[in-house]
Amino acid sequence: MGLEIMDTYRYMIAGYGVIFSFILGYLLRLFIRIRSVKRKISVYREMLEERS
Amino acid sequence: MEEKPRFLSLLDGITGILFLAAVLLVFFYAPLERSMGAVQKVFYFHVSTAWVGMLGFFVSALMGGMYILSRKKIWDMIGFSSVEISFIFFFIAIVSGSIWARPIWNTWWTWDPRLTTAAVVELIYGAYFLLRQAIDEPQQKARFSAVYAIFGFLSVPLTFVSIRMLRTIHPVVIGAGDPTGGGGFSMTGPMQVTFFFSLFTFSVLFVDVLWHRIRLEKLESMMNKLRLELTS
Repeated sequence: MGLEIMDTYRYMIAGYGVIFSFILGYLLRLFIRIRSVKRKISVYREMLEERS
Repeated sequence: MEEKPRFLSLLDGITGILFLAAVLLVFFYAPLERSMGAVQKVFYFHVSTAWVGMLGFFVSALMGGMYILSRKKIWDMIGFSSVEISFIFFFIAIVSGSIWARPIWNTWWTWDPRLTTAAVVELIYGAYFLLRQAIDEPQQKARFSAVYAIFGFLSVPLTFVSIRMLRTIHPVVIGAGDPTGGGGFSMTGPMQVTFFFSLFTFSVLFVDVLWHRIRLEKLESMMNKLRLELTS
């Protein structure tokens, strides 16, 4: 009961498309957040130094 | 703390290489399964993402226990980070499984015991985030989350054993009694190598991403302290 060759490739590409896009999306979001928080920390430090 | 630890950079590199190797094994080393064809290849990363999901939920329950015993904030940070990562990976496992099911079972979704229990697990951990958002006081938030993570984890082993104890169409590939039913198959040598290598790669990926996520939690905590100093 073999499937049509093109069908099986189509679903394989869809499956890996979902897997890669979610993993990359999550990693991207994580690294952007880390960068943004680090930037805010340095800005707050500068502001505190200016105040003291 | 703001500087990235050298070992973490090294781990990033190792994870990247392992992941690339796993992808190459899946697409160029593992043979095509005779009846399912190329769509069977989804299996390698589908199981690996589900494994990361279950591993992370276990870590969060463990960290919940550690928090209740010691009341140290770090256990809450690790537990929460772990749930966030696992929630994403378990969701990937559900969606990729659904894509595999369409040509094999001729449906995107069926209320089979494995699929149902997996959906319940995802909903339980979705509610974990709602619970955390609803509580402002940090210690109370950590305490409630710890207890919830421990009880929430009870659903995970239930999902794991569901295909082994109940009547289901979901294939049991590891330790299968009947590999021919419902899209099941017997793994050949190269398939086993690819499968276990993918599991190992995703375990390393989990540790790497968890470390980054915990780092983010610590940085956010530092940022909030500085913000408080500024406003006081």
